[in-house]
Amino acid sequence: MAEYEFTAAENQSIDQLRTKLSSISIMLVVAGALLVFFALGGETSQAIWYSAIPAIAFIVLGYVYYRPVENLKRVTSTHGQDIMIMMMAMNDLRIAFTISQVIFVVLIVMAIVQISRMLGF
Amino acid sequence: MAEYEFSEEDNKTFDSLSRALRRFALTFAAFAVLLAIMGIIWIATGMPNPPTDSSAVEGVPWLIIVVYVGIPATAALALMFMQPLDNLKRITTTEGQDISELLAALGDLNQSFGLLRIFVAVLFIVMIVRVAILIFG
Repeated sequence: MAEYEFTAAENQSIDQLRTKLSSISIMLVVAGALLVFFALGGETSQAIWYSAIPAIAFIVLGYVYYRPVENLKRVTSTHGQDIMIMMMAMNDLRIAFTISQVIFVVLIVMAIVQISRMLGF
Repeated sequence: MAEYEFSEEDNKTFDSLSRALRRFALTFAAFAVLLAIMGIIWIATGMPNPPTDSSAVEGVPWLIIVVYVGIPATAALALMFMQPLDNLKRITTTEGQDISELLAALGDLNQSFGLLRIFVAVLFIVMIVRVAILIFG
């Protein structure tokens, strides 16, 4: 079957998703960098780890959400290979969701421990 | 132009994406349930506002924010990220409307990431405020 070319309206929808992913990834990377700042200023080893682990997590999340951005941009800006590039973006999104899930589970466990301590359990 | 039909290999990619997305959404749902359980325990035990510790900004009721904002937020994210699953499934199970289904799924993802972006932005602003407080006292 001949290669499909997304229309201008379809490209606009794809661009909206790309913009959101891009801004999320930038904010996550900057938030991660700020947490590195907190980690460096930590007074106890526990305080350092409670900033360092989310810092690494945010920077990794920022990176994995940026991966589909490049391919989605290529879908809208190039001709003749839209479907192939879209499938690469879909694969990048799959990887992003999988890595996010693992990271969220780690962060959830950390949050539960922290909240339990605050509740006095 | 006739609708494009994705290949078997493409369909496998969509299936994998669908499974990853479902697990991702369920993680948010699990988080919402855990926060709800903690909230119930917290209310049932009649705990006062949690004490602030060295990592918290003085006077901010972190637990109230976590429980009363965290539960609806994570539940909403779970529901929103479940939305594209139907369309992704239809890409692989139906014929003749693959591109329409893909664009519908991307539209749903666009809305889900829109909500996620709001929460990430709030987190981002909170962190900027914390850094400002640390630097300028």
